Amino acid sequence: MDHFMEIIGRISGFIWDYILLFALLGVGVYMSILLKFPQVTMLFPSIKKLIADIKNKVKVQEGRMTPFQSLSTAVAAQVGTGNIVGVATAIASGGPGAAFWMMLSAFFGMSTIFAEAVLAQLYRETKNGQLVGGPAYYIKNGLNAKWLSALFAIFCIIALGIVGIMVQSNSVVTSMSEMFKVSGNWVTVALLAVVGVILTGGMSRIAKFSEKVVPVMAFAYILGSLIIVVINFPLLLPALRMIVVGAFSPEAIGGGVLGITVQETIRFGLARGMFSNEAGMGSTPHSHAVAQTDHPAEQGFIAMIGVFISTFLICLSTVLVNLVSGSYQATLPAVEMEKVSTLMTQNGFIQGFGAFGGAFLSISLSSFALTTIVGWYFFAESNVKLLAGEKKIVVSGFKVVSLAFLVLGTFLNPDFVWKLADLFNGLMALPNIAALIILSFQVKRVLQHYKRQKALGTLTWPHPEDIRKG
Amino acid sequence: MLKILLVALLSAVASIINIPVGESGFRVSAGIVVMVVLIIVWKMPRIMLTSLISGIAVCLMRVLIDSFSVPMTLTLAGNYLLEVFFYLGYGLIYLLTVVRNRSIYKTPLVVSLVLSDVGGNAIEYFLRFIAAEEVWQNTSLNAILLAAVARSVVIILLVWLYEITLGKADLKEETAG
Repeated sequence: MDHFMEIIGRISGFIWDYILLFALLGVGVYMSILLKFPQVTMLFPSIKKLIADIKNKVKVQEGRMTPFQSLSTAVAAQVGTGNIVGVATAIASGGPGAAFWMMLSAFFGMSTIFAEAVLAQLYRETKNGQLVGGPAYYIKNGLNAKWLSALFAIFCIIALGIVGIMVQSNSVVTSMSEMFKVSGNWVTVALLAVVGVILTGGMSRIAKFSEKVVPVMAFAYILGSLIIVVINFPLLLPALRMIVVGAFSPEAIGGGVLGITVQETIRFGLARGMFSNEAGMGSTPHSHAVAQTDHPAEQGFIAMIGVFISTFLICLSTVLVNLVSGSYQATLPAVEMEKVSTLMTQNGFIQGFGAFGGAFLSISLSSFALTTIVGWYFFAESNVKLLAGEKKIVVSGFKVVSLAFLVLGTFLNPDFVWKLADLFNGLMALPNIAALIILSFQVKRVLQHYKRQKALGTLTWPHPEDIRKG
Repeated sequence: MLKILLVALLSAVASIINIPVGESGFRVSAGIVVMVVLIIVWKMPRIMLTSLISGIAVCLMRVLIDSFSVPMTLTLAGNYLLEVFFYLGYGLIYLLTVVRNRSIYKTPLVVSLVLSDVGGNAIEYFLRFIAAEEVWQNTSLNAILLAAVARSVVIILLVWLYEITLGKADLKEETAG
């Protein structure tokens, strides 16, 4: 078993450290230049439009989601334990400067996710009266590569619908049972019942759950973090200074005791930024595909908000809590901080709110993991639909399989499950990145079409042929 | 309303048959089986009300039976009162996964019943954890799941038996009428 784990760890490490780190950042930079930085020009107008849609209570047909529901489902998946534990590990290993590179990678990631959402909208299909789409669909319909589409679908089903669910259920049960001293077995059955009720209700219940729970969860975590920052307000400016200075010269932090190079700071920051918001990974386009919008580009702009929430709000909140509360100690070497990194954020909240802080973080972690289970299941189900065609029984069966793995995940060694999850997430991202690069000019044409239409004042859905020809 | 009271009464009587699972105090009874079978075969519309009244009836039956053998205390009665929440939780999850399930990808009934069973039990456990003396802290996951699966299969079998025997007669009567 140990040997098997080591092999998986090595393959996964190779894919992430030598291929994906460069490929994901490269695609982000390329898309930003090709699309003329939509994250700068369109992010805030799209937030404004989204708020207006929520206020107007926009309704959609059966088998579709509103843009807000699709964003909530995407954020449900994007915001996970990585935004708390992963971020703490990144600054422990890469120093406070890692946060700067995290933000930078998220900045470029917004263009990548824009491209993913546009393609998902463009090449979606209707199955059994419901919209369905995602990378497997744009690989199949855009690239005409059925085998690659099937390969992506298989990797995605394993990564998110099976292994991913196991990882998250393990996190919920461990966190809740350790913090509140309740029986892990009963937490497992409670989780099974809650997730079961949501999943059996299909797309509409998943959408309703996400649009209600995700904003509350994100708001509560940001508010909690903000209170800790306000309590420690005099330390905010020094913390921000540590982030900026540490990004370029980590040796200037804490009198040079961190013992890390600027390359390490960049690597840890970029990696955490990219992995936390899932831009380019091929997961979130599944929910953006089913949104009912006037133009594919509009959903692309909405998708960028997801990266903004995940990295610029949630991850940055975690970073600031750790820096201002003193749970991150700049006077200790990085190798020492790494040993306590998983408990760092928890300590930060305990220092801010006492015992309540620990419970608050445990509930936050569990709700982040719960929403991730729901979001990831939805993404995996979209790929099951691709492989199953119109056969409803296969999709129904997959629900039962996912619930069984949710229970199984609570028994397994979490290290092994995390390694498997990393491997299949990496394998799933590779075909998606290839498709994004090959179809990038179509994304550009969609954006140009949107701008032309907007100037004319009439927004109509582009014909796929027009997009292909330019 | 008469049907609801009848379901409650029959569930309460059936709940006398119960089996302890493991050493933790967790036990499964036939009360819920009777309640769900009757809800399905009689196509009862008011699930939550039926669950609530059945839960109360089961609780009262337990108190009554126990008061013959041990002196009844408030704590003991309180322990039994929590069973109402098992029935309510079961009813709520049944309502959501079966009655109000609009998904085009149907979930097998046995899965919905297992979810209702474990959900109801989980609600009762957490209330016991907060408020009661008897907490099933050491119940094994296998025992909880096996009990839920066994009960759900029995419910399905009883509904099936009804449909191939009495159900057919009802259908003939309806068509003749």
